Amino acid sequence: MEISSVVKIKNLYKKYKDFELSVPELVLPKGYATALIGENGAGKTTLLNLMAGIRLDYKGEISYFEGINATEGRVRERIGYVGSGNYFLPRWNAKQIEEISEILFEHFHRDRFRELCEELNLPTGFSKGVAKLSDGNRMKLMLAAVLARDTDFLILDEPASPLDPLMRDKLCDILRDYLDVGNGERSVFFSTHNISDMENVTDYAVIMEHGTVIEQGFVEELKEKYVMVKGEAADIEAVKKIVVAMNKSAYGFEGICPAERLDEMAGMDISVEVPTLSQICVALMKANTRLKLT
Amino acid sequence: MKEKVKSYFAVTSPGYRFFVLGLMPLVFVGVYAVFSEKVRVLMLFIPFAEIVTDSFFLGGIQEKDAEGLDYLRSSSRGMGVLRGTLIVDVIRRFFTIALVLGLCCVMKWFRLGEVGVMDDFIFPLLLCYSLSVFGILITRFRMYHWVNLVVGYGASMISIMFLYLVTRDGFGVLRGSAVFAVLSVLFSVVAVKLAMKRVEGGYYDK
Repeated sequence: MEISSVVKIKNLYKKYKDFELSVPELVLPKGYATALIGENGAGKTTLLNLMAGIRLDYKGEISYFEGINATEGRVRERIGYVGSGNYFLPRWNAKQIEEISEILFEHFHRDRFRELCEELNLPTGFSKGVAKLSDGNRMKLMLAAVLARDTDFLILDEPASPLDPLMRDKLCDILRDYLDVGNGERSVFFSTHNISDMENVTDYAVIMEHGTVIEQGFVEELKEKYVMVKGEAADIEAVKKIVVAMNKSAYGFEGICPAERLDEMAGMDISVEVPTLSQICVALMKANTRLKLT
Repeated sequence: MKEKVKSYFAVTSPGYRFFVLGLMPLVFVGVYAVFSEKVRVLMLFIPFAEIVTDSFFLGGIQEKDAEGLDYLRSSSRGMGVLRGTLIVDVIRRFFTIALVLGLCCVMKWFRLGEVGVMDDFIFPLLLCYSLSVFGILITRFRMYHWVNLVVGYGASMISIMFLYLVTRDGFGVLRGSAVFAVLSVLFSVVAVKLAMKRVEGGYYDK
């Protein structure tokens, strides 16, 4: 199946004092929701900022919608970006955000914004300043401002983190609706630490560690590429060399193993299951982390 | 210009506008009407008030990694909107001070039958305005209210000092006005350009 791309990244490089982001190649499929997963400091926000045009000091190429350069102003009209806390001026309230959005973006719909504010149950309507809102409500306000526009691509930096479980579920519905209405023309790219909560809206996953992409693919493909194995404690030493990462106890172990290496466990008393995306991600992060794990 | 004014009204909060466009001028004119015969007394308060209130508007905008600018940066029109806002802001400051001093001069004329255009209007206007804008040039580097307070006090003191120098040392109100006219233009241009340079520098980690 031929899949077109919403973003193509080539030789992207950005250096900070003690951190380097280096992405030789990354292609995000058009029409899907892609999750960006990685531990703290992996470079997720840096990558999203570069893609959203919030930062322009990088080497390499980022192109959107099959060939539009990142520096072209018109591309920003088609991208909706939701950042972290440092987003709206702290004294703005919802009314001002509505007014400023109409000036900033050609296709901002005031009515849709108000409907979304109501739908997301933003408290005290239009009077409270952004700084006085809770993190969750601030995120809802950012989402309302972005979703009230006609965009083709959403870039969301940890949208689920400040939200309660119910609202996370709602967020998944919102993103799924956004993609459905787009009829294959709209795409979403979001970073998250809440892999389980966001799994039902994740079609494609990109896993980052130390400023680079260590794995990527459609979720179903990843679930075929890796398997979850469970076995006896006696086999732990033998399995260690085969699995990506494992959890062990006095009774046995469970770990994520590349499906192609399953044959190497022949003869062992193991059970094989399809892993969740969260289990795959945690295993890959464990295998690549600089954290001192016991 | 209409677009710039629209940007200014969208970026500033209603509370801030109520204060700087309504309450503040009213208080100054009221203070003059009730307590003073000398328009120049206002030179002590105007720069202070203008600098202190700025911390509720664009305080800290020139800071590295200034807060709250990502939404503007995510739009291709964002920097234009901010530039428009900054331009209208310096113009607003000039006309607010002119309005306050103008009304006080009218009151003085009704009260005493005489008013010095240079002494009571032009020179105080240019001095207050240039000190106000110079003050915000400094304070916008840090998002702390106390910085605005300190710089505001400083501007008030400098205002009085210049008034003394100009009137007592024979420098002359006319020459003083000419100097502050030049400084007013210079500070206005720098206030807009510097803020824009710092904000646009945020795209490049500067």
